[in-house]
Amino acid sequence: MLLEARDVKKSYMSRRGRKDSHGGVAAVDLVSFGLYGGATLGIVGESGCGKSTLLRCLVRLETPDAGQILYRGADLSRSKERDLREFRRHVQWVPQNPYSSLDPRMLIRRVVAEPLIATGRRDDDGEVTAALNSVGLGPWAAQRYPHELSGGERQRAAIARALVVSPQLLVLDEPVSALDVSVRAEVLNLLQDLRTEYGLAYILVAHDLAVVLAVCDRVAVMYAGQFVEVASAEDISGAPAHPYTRALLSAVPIPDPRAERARERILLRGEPAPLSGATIGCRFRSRCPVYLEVLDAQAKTQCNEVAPTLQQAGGSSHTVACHYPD
Amino acid sequence: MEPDTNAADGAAAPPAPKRESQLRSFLRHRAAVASGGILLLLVCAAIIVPLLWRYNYTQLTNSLNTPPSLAHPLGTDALGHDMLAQTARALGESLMIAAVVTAFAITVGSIVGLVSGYAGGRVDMVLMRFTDLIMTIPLIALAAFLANKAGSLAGPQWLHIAFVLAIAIWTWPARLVRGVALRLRSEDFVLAARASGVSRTRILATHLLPNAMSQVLVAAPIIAAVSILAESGLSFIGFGVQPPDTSLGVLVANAQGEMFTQPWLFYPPGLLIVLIALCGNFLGDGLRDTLDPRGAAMGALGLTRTARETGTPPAKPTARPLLAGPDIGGPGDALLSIRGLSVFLSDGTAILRNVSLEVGKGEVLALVGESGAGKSTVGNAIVGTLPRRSKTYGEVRYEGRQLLGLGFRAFRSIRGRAVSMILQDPMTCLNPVFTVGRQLREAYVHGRQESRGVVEARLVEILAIMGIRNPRHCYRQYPHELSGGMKQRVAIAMATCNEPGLIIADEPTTALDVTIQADVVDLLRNHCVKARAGMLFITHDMGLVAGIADRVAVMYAGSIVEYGTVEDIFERPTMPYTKALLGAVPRVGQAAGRLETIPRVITASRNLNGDSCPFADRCSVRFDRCAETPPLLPLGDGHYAACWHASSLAVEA
Repeated sequence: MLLEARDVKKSYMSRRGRKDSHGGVAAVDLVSFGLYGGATLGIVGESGCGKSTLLRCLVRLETPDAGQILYRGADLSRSKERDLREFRRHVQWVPQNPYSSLDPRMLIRRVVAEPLIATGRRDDDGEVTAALNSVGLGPWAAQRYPHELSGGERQRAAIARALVVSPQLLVLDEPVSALDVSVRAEVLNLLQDLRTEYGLAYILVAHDLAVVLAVCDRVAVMYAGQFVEVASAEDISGAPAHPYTRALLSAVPIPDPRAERARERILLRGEPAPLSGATIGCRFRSRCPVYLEVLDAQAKTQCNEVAPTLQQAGGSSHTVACHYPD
Repeated sequence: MEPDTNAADGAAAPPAPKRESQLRSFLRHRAAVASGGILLLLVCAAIIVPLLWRYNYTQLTNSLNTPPSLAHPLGTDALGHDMLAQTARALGESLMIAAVVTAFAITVGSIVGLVSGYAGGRVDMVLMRFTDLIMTIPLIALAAFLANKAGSLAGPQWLHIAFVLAIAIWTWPARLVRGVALRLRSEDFVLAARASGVSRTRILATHLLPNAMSQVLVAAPIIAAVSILAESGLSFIGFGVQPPDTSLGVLVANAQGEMFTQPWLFYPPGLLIVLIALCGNFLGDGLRDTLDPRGAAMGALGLTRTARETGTPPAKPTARPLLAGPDIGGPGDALLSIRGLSVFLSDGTAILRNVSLEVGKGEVLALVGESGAGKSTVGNAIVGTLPRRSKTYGEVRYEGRQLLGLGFRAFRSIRGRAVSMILQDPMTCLNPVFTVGRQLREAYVHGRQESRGVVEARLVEILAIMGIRNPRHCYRQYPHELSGGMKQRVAIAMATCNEPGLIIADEPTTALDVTIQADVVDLLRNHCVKARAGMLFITHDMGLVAGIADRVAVMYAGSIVEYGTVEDIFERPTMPYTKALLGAVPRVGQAAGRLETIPRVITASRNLNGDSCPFADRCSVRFDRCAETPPLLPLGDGHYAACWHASSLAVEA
């Protein structure tokens, strides 16, 4: 297994500036998953669900408070910077915003070459040009500043920077959300092609389910710091088990007027619940249409008292954290 | 093997953009250039005059207290010193002190600021407390102490003064740079460098320092000005430069008793102090505008009156027939009617080209396009917030009344009342220092006479209609206490509280989560139906369009390229760009295959004033006729497409 996370937890201090007795706001709360080489995992969730925090923990931009992150079996969750060199070479991070992910004062050439220097290799023109080529940018791009490139080109440059050290895993944080529709399509196609050509593994985070389904084989749905459903792309869209997944699916607009207006929308009442303090029981119940409309009082006690964990549902690789999935 | 079949590498690289050198843009700032020149002149004078002038500054002549004459252009003082020599020496001394202080303050301040800001945590705390401590040192006492020891300490005396001032002043750039470093360290490019394994020192040197440099350079001339003033002050009270050495402050101190009887002793050094300080400030302004152009001044309130030009636009006017009205009533019934709207920036580039559309009562028209297509510009043209010095042609009529070229006063009755706008980012469109209630009241009471209690009740009711669960509580809350969805609902409440006839929604859901988005879109649509208001819904999301729009106008490169009902656009897209846009949207349930893409455009300055179809260089079905701009051709039933292929379809229809 290439990368594995076991019970990763990351909290931030609560507003009063100190960790309260529950450890503050748990942005990532006991997340576990495994990824094999060449596989792709998409993580979908709304703002505040902790997906960006999870990514930052995975690439060790932050240190998780608890749990393990294993790269090829070795636990790196507490390692010091100097022990992470090999890891950093093989696992590269592509940040979210192409308009701020490149240093505005550096030529693209230097930007793309930076990981080479960081991992102690020679700053080689040939490698830089090869990386730019593989994302569809010509040698002309190397002599430009970031503000002289379009959004799509900048995102490609950011991907080139990640590719220049021949990584095995790319961790992408909302790679297309800041881009136009047609440019998104280009970048998504590029990601598919790169995977085929170089056998890359991806962990891709997005709030748009359609984007994740376009690139990834497996999808994890995240809510309030936890995975609530993990399944293959077909199962997530065809047979979603968790009420939140179903609500997400119904909220994605369909570009077809008759279908869009005819569909039955599952509306989630209220806003995503605040994460501070410990919660007993299921975190989703304050918005869950099943809890609010279908269950009777006796059934609700289960949701009130016991926090659901990922259990098998349907196919063997389909897991769901819900007491009443169906 | 190229993964992307549309790769443009090697072939047709976009032409190199013109980079205006920073020097050139600085030279446009006249006050700064003049100030820089004056300072340079003063420095030269301070160096050259003592070398060439016949008198030395310590020399005593026989003429005592003489006013300016040919022999002594600045007169002499009570002891017979020649004032020109003294002033030149004083100038040199003051400038040298200022230079040393600035250099020290900038260097030490930058290092401390960078390390403190980037490292954070304990290091930051220690360094900042140290800085605070330094600031408590009583400067005057220190200066007095050193002045007393003048003879016994090593080094030239002016260096002691410079030392005292430098100790005090470096704390300011340190704080400045720390602020910059704090902001920069969470920037994506710094995080990306960390994630790639770049060492901390390297990040500081290659990323933070260059980006902080611009702020530091702006501060430098101001620090110099401040140190001149401070040194003059210290010397004035006798703790600065000591005789026989002299500085501008010393000269002013000596002359202040004789200010009226011997003005030639007082004014030259005094005016020089003022001049240097002013020049320092203007230079700082100029550097700031060059290096950080976002700080430059805008027009009053950012609102500009755009002149409405009569006559035809300068570019060769394409004989585009104006769009005939949609099927809901004739042109007279339309709430909003735009005909032939063209907007040009001050440098001549066209951002809108001959746009025509209509919105009826209770109808939602979606304006779709990608960034740069000009859709926000249409919204801006309606409410009169186009960029400064842009030229507009054509007509924008609301209930028959021409809106283009209206003055600020005339617009007041329309903006927020008859026509209101919902902006994209709810995070920034609400003022963080006022409560929700206060901001709603501001939008609502404009011209009304009702009492506060009545107004509040009405506004709370509106908030409830918007779906806010605890409206009375929300009324008293501040924007930062609300979630994104709630903020946008408040923004919608502000836009609808005056029951406008036309609502312009500019990407209102882009910043929202998809589940909240569905809610907000439903809310908007219901409001329009109930209030019989027209809505211009600007977006790039085709899925949203399918859900909310009655009619759709697709924009590309400043023009409308397809127009029709929502069924027309989705089921019978005609213009190749529309088809490509629909094909590029990833759909849930679609097999993970390749998405349709549009061949990349050359990102050079697209010639929008040209004659050919704007989409021609990316179109897969272009043919010779495309060298001529196609007008919006009717396909029947209110469906129009700006494509020559449409004419053949129109024949079939």
